[in-house]
Amino acid sequence: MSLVIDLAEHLAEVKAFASLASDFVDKKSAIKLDSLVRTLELGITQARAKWTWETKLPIEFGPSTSYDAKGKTMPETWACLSFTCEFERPDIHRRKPDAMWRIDNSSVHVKMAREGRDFLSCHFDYKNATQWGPQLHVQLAEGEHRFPIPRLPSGIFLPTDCADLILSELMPEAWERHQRRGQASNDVSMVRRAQEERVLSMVGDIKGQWANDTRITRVSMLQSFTPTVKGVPNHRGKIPAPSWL
Amino acid sequence: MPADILYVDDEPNALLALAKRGGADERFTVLTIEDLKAVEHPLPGASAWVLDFYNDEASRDDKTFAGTESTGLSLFQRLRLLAGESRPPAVLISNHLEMALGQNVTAGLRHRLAEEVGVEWVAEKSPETGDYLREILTIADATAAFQSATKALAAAPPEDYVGTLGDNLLALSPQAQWRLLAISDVDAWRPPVLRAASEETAGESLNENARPFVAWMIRQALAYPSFVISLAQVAARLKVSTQSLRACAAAENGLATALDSLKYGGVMGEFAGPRWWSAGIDDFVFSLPSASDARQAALEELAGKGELEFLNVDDAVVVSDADLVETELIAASDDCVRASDEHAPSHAPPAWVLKRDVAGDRTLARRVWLEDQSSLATDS
Repeated sequence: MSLVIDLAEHLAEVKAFASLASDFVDKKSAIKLDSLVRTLELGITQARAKWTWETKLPIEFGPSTSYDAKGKTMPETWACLSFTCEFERPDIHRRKPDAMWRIDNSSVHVKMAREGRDFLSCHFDYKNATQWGPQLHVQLAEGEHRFPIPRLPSGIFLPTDCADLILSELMPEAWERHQRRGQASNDVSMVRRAQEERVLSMVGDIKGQWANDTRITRVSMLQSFTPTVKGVPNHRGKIPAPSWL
Repeated sequence: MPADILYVDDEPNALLALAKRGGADERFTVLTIEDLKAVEHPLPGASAWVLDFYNDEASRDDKTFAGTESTGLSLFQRLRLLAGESRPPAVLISNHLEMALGQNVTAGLRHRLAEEVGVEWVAEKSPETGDYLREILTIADATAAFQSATKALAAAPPEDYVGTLGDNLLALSPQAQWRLLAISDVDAWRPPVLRAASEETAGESLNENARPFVAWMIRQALAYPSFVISLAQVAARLKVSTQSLRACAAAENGLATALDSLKYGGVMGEFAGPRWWSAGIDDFVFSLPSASDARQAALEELAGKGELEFLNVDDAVVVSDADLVETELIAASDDCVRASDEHAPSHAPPAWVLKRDVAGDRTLARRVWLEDQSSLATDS
């Protein structure tokens, strides 16, 4: 499965997310965030047949000491996020190429760091075609322990969605409050609508597949789920339909 | 209060009569052009200059250069040279403002017109409303307030500068639990800083730092939704109509009390209409339940049943007109697009204009953000 994505639509969402998240990173990471947005823009306008959007150095979110329960102070912790997204499409020579690519591969790595040392890592990615497990999944232990399971099914795989999850976990109160500010409402809307459409599209797909095979439990089925949706819907629910398919 | 407003006009009686009604006539030192010629530095330490544009009846219809030196703007240039950096804010007034400035005067854009000609404010002398008097006095009061606060600002360490500004001039409550957020908001709007050179003469320094501050309030903080916001913006955040919120805020109920505690009471308070602390409103909204129906119920309990008109829009935004001046109308962001022009500072939020308004207005269409142009095309 290779999802098609309209990167121009996704760029608007990335900009909105970067604007929200910039308050939760230090100066260096704020520059990296800006640079990532810029790279995505450049990639779209350069319109190459194959290109990679990736972090050069991880983005550091945090630090945070309140991530367990209200009123409970925990050790100061950072979350470092890095990702690689490979986009590809047939080489087309057109005067005005569209902004649609296939996501050939995507993986987002998250490391939790304390006292300058990484102590936990996980990553969200597509699985290789030869592996078992859900195509979109999060793995916890492949880094340190080289142990490939469990692969927990995940609808979240895009870098912004992963960052959103991490912020929600690392600083739940502050991240929520920040989003509810009046000034944030447009940025939040942009991200919210796109996320809604992605989730609904995935859920619809799962439901459809369940209906087609009733000889296996639903949890088992989810563990081998490969989406049949063609593309990542934009915030208006439109699934991209590139002309070259 | 001693005379702190320099007023140059060949026909000052209309303004003075208005001022007298409010007990403020003592504040004005009136000079004619002839008087000015005899004085080297008129009213040093003035909190404001009020200059009538036409000081010579004959020059009004004169299209030549003959009447140049008597106009309020020429006087302003001369005064500016004499007073140097320590000049106070200047207000240009006229019975024929449009003729004086040579262009249409849009009510919501006077700050821009003023900036173009180099003064801080322009106003039509309209005796019936007396608004222009209130504007003049507000500006003068703000200058005087800044003067009084200069010592505290000079003494504050740089990292506390914005906080000190908040305490001394913006009436930011030290107990407000949203205080830190408010300080961060003010900082994001880049308030003018006290120049180090003027620290030695802090307190004696004549308006060197007051004028930039007043100008910043007029042209930025009050001209856009900033760290303080208008009633329409508050209504949009509460998802109620502006009219019903206005009625509720004026009555006696829990909502009015809550909003009162968040009202902006610092300098230039009512200059462009009432304002509320953006951070305060956000804090209030955060204290309400997040689910839509529970939030409405909580608001109804505060305001009284049936008093508020709830808007059933996903994302409520305040609509701006073709000049990008905010109206009181609130609409869904889906029905609008974002627009800006070359004047808005980069940290100002965009204006939201209705798609249907853009349809018939090419100039407005050009101001729409490039990212939103496609949604205009698809919906047309």
